[in-house]
Amino acid sequence: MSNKDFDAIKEAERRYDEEVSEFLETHKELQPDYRTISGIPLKRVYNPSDIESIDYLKDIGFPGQYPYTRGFYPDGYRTRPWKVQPLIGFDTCEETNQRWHNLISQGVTGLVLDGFPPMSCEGGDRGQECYNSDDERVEGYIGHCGLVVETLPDWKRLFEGIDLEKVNISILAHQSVQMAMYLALAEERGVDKKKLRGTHETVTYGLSDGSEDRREQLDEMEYCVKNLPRWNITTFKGRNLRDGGCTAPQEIAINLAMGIDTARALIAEKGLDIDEFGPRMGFMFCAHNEFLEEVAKFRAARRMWARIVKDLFGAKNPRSQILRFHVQSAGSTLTREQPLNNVARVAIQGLAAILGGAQSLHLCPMDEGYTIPSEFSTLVSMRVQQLLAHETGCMNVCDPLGGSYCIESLTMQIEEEAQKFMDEIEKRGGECKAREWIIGEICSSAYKYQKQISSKERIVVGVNEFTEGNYSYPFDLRDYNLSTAEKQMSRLNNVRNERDDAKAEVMKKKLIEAFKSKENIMPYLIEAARAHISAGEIHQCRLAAVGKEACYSRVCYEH
Amino acid sequence: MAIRVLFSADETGHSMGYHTIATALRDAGVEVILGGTQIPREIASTAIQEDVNLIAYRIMGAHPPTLVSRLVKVLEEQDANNIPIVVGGAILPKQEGQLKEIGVMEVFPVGCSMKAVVDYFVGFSEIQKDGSI
Repeated sequence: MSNKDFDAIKEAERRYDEEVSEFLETHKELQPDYRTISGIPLKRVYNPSDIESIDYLKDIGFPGQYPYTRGFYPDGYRTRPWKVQPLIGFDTCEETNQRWHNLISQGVTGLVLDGFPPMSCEGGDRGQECYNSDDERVEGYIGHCGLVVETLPDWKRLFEGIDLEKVNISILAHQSVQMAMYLALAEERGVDKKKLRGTHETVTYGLSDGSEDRREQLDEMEYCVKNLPRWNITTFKGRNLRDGGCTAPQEIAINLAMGIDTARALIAEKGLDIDEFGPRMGFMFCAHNEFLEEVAKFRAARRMWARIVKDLFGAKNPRSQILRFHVQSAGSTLTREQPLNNVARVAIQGLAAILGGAQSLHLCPMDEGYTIPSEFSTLVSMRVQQLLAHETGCMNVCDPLGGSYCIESLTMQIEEEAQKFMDEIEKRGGECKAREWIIGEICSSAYKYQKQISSKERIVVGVNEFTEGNYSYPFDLRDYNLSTAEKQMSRLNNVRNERDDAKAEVMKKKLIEAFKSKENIMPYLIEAARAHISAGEIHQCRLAAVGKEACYSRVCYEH
Repeated sequence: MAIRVLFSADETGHSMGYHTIATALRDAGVEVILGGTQIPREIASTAIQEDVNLIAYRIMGAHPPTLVSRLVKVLEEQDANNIPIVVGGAILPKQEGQLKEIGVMEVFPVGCSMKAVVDYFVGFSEIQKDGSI
């Protein structure tokens, strides 16, 4: 389009604005100010002059081409639909294994393991900390928020009847011992590690500020880069911080800043090349309520990451420049009031994720506001994904909203906001060092959002408006299974009774020495797992070697 | 005089509510002591040490009746069971009654309004001033 064309459009827009002003003399708009949930100002209508500064080939391009604004696969979902990845993990390995088999028979293509070693109030965000299931600190926690797996026999039972070479598994717990247990399982089954596909979180959020925690995060990534060529070495879960109240641009900035921090450390401390591990880094994003903003967010994030990896790290392999991401919808947007409305909420959030080009998706089940979702509600949320895939036609065209004046403008605006936030993080020395400041920013965004709901500036159906006929959840809710803890403790006892005590003690001593050394810890953790040392016992060895403070991040996000 | 409330949580995650409510209460003049994540034994000892008027226990990841029963038991053992307990978080409807039977004064499940929580605590401060508790 020529300058002359833009001048004519701008002139027409000026006339349009005058007409609207006149119209508004006798009519009132519903809101005094129009902004997205993240506070980005919205125009009444967008036109070509709003995206005048965009160079189509340089900034948008085609799918599969740098800077990947329109997605990384040349034909989008046509050859490669997103993976339906419901998040499962509850009770013990036996119950979760059963639920997995049911899901696989219903068409699930990827498994997400929400499974942890026994944890206490330090919770899922605290570095390597874990306990034995019979420890005082885990009373009331076992098998509730995630499944408990603590020994190799637990892992064997968990994957009974599941082919490790065929399954794509996402292991959500971040402790290095979880990865070690999975690798020990693969070794015992004689599976070639080169064939393993999936990902492990590895980092709790970004790199830890606890020395041992950080060392194990980097050791694990190094080990996987060198031994598991098809494995994704980490997932940065800025997503949870969005669910915890940060804005869309902050979500991008924090996620990418975690990636930058980690890439720098892998290069400087492990001597790896960006093109060795770049293609193996993954991200997790949220899908919140505001549809247009979310679609723009995914596009902006992809473009930014491609440029960062290329310009900042000099990556030559196009696969390194690709921002691959999993999306989990925003559980915090689901309500207890009129809970069936949640099915509609996640459908729209899911559509935003798909039109934004997600590689895999989990939609929060409708009973998420109450407790760990039931098998029934999980099935419903999975059906929503299948309905989106097969009934709406939304995956037939690549980046169908690309080129919309509004979407391109929002993509640009979100990118600018995210860049500002990233610059602030960078000024403070990167994500890990800036974490305390970032947490403060997230808290103030969250508080602002809650105040908007309190003041009805933001309407939540069934909560602060349209509350007539409120009803509570009409189906069975999953309750905590009190027998799980007992069952798990007896599983642990059996393992301890059946193993060779003398050998176990020798292994523990060897492990303590390994924790004290600077060698890569992974082979030792795998060996310990194969000697049936529990996750809690492995952690005791770690504590004996390096002390408590080193094992977790002093400053940590609380999603 | 403002009341002193101990804010404790069962896990580090899912803490948007924990922090926003704490901020809202401070804005309303309530003195909030952030205990962070603690197991019941630690909550009881902080509550006694800090001489609080109320324990606010947020539970999102664990089993509320199990944790709260333990807390009540530990408080009793230390002759501190006069400190009232308020529980918030992922509480099933049927657990609300269970918790009150265990001795919890009030329950605020996920999704309740920030205003309802703030009003409750401010109201509690008023009662304290009257000396009726």
